[in-house]
Amino acid sequence: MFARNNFARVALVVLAAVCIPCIAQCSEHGEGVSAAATVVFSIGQFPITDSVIMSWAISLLIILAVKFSLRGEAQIIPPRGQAMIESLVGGLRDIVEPVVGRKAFGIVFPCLLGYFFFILLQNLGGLLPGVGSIGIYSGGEFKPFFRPANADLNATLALAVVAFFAWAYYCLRCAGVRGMYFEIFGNKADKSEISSFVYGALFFVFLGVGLIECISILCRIISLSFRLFGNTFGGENLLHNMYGFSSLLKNIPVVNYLSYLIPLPFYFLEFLVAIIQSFVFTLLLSVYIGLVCNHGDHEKEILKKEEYGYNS
Amino acid sequence: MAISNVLMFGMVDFSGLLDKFGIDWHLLLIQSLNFVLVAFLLYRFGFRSVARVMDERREKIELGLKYADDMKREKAAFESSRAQRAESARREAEGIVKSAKDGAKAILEQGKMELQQQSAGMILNAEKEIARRRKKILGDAKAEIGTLVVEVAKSVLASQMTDRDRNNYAAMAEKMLP
Amino acid sequence: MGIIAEITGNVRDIAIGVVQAIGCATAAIGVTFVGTRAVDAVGRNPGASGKILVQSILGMALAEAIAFYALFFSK
Repeated sequence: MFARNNFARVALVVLAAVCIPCIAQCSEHGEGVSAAATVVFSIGQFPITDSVIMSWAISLLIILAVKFSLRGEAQIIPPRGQAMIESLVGGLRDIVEPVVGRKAFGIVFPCLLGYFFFILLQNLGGLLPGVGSIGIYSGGEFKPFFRPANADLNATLALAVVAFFAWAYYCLRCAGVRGMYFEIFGNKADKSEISSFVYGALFFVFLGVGLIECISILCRIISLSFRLFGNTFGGENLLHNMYGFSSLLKNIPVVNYLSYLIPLPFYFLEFLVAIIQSFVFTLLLSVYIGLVCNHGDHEKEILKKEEYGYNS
Repeated sequence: MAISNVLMFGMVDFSGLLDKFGIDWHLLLIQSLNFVLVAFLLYRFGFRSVARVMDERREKIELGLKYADDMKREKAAFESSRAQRAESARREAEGIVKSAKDGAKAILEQGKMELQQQSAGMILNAEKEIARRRKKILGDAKAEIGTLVVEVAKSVLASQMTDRDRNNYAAMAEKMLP
Repeated sequence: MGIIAEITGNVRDIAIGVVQAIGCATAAIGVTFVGTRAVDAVGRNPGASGKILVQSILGMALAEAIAFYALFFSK
């Protein structure tokens, strides 16, 4: 047992020692994925990139998968596919419900589910073999047909913009214009504790805070989109570089059999990243909604905590 | 977080970024429409019924658990009442047997008593009768013997005796007789 | 991406490389803090692991964003 462990350790260290310079070399040779998606063809004025093709393909797959796993209407005694979907839906519900608040949960949950499943399956789809490697050479440049949808900033920015509008819609529906105004610009000081002059002066302070808050809210679009893009794009780069590294080994007689194994651990890493990032996107969106909508549940939440003995 | 975001907003050259990452509003439109469509279809044909069924099932399970609880409670109540009834019935039966025994004993006693009284009465009556008859016989015999003595004495002393003497003799005879 | 390749150029490229390196390092430190504290908290109170997971993933995501700002906006 120990011997094997030690062997694994030594192997990892050697692998890392060989890998790091080679990754550098691969990236010097321009083996990385281009930052922008490549246009494969265009319909009228609309350029269709490899990322869009992937996005459509995976969307079709998602819809077909859900349709076939449900086999029409859902049933009380769940078939296997339905049980799987239910466990995902139930798990997400348990996590999201206390964050969003009981009041907003009913109308927000479908949107959150859509985000979770869409991003999750797009990310996982990016790990399929052939993504980024099937394509044509034209003009001395390799043009892949498929690229993970979220490895294109257009897709993640679109997701983030839709999320922003969804956020605004849900917040207006739950808290109303007045509630949202109070949440952003409103004077949160307690009138009974301070003099009216200070209260009036604080109005301007909170107005300034509200302006900063507005920019911060707009920044959420950028932060959401770049987080998802960075993770997926970085992962895609990592996999490509590992693949390029393994192709460097192909000329060495014995080691070349090992070369196929080199990208493998990173696929596990990317699998994890795909799940976590879809979860993070959904959770952040629900936190943003909960910041505005979730006020009434606080006392209940505390009571619940005491009831479950969280503090023990 | 907010401050760092605002700082970032001021410092970044966005137009260069847009070119670098190939941002195109056509693509943005395509991707956002795609997402909205997929999310809507997923909800409309997938998750809505799943969520409804999950709620339904939870309700059913809750109902079932409640029913089972009720049944358990009912069963316990039934068990306890049955035990109570059995106990009370046993006690009642014991009471009945005891009272029957008591009754029988009382009847026996009474019968004995009555019998004794009856026999005592009969004995008493018999004694009384005997005494009465003896007295009567004695009286009769006395009277007859007296008369007989008087008759004999009269026939003996018929001529010499006065009426006063006769009566004296009769009285004497009566005194002498036991 | 070619992060390492950029260090071979002029001063501006070196500066960009340094910014990216520092940004990623600080993000890594932030994620480490969050992870350490989350593990501590779960060790103390295993019953609350679900809530801690949510909080820690949020914190990690926010810290991680710094790395992407540094990587993408530094050019």
